[in-house]
Order: sequence, then C-alpha cells, then structure tokens
Amino acid sequence: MESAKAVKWIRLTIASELEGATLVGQSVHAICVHLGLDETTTFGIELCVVESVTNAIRHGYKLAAGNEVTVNLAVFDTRVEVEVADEGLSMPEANVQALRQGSSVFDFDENDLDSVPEGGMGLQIIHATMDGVDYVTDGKTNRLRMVKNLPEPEALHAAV
Amino acid sequence: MRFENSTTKGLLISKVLDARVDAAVAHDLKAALLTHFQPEPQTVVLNLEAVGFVDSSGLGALVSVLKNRGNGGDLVICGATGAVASMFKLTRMDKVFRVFGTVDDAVQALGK
Repeated sequence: MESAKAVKWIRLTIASELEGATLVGQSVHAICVHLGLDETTTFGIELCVVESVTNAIRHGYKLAAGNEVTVNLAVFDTRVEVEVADEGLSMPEANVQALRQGSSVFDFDENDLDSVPEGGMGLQIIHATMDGVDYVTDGKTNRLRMVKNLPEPEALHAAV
Repeated sequence: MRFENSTTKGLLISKVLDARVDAAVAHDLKAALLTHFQPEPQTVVLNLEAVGFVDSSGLGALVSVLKNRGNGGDLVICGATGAVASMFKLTRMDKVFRVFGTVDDAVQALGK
C-alpha cells in the first residue's frame, strides 16, 4: 500500500475570468511536462482542469468577476490528484450524476446535425478521461476531485 | 483571435494562428468564422496545424458555425494533430466534420 503523502503538490488560484482558465491550463501543462508525464496523460489532466475551471466560472459564478477558483494538484508515485474548488453555485445533482456515472452527450447521430451538442460536453469529457471523479460541497465551497493514474513505467521518479 | 486567410481553388483557407482554442476565445472564433458565410456561403477550410489545445467550448463554437453556415456552405477541418486530433476523436466530432490531414489534402479533395 502506497503512502498517502504526495510526492509534490502545488496550489494555483485564479480570478473568475475565462482567461484564467487558459492561464491555469497552460500552467498545469507546464507542470506535467516538468514532472516527465507522457503527452497523453499531460493533455488529459490539462483538458480536465480547463473544463472544470471553465464550468466553475461559467456556471458556478455565472461569469461574475471578483471571485476565485483554486486548483490543487498533488502528485503521488502512481497517480495525480486534482481538486478544483470554487464558492459559487453548486452543481445540480443531475450534473453530479453525469460526472460520476457518465452521460450520453456523445451518443448523437452524426448524420443529424441538430443532435450534435454545442455545449454540455465538459462533464462527460472529465468522466471519460479521468480514472476517478467525485464532487462534494459543504454549502459554501464546491470541490471537484479528479484522479488520473499514471501509466507504467512512468518517468516521474526521474524527475523528482 | 488571429487568423491567416487565403483563397485557393475556390476555397477559403483560414489558418488559426493562436495556439489555444478554448472558452476565452470561443465567442471570437465563432463570430469570425460566421462572417465567411455572409453574404454567400462558401467552403471554409479551417487549418488547425498551429493549434495545440482545443477544449469543449472551442469545439462547441465550431459546431455552432457548422449549424449556421447556410445552404451551400461548409466548414471542414485540416491540420489537427496530437491533442487536438484526440479531442475530435474523444467527442466524436471527427464524425461530424470532414477532417483532412493537411491543407493540400483538403484542396485536392474539395478544390474547383
């Protein structure tokens, strides 16, 4: 059984603006590259962080400026854990279920353009990309937690 | 957003010069691309070879353009590699858009 202690961790806090999602995405990408994670893992983590942060800004804060979104990224020997926290509106229960269990948003008919989604894809992208997802709220702070297992052999040890 | 536009064999080639197509630029992307379908619809080849990251907001903007392009117009994709190509595949948007490897491939297939 591995230690619960993270090998490395970092906390990033951004303003509730969509440009902040860009900034935190680029930062997470650079961190993953620095840690020696492979391209696929790096992209998956970056994508899910961007989707989560964008959701928090767009739906949690309704695009209102003057708020914060915090991303905690912890690296363990065999996995990366990411938590995206905000103090906006909590995610509706149906969306939480979609996040945990998946949704049918990509089961569209590619020959029927009207059935192709223009939005609402982020939660399914996170569900499909991450190895573990959960969402908790205490009525004030909402925390979307994601786990990405690292492939074997991973170059992480060489970078630490 | 920054684009580099050119015309070849009746096709408008629009190369995205920004490295990221995400929620921060999705609105601008949609607005810029829709201008190419007015007043007359045409075939637009969106070259993504310089783009390294696309999120669901960026893809949603492209879907919206495809839905609002008008009769006789088309929006096709080329130059998507790595994470960008993976995103199209993950979301099944590679089944919705006509996707070509390079600009030359698109011009050869669609040019007049």
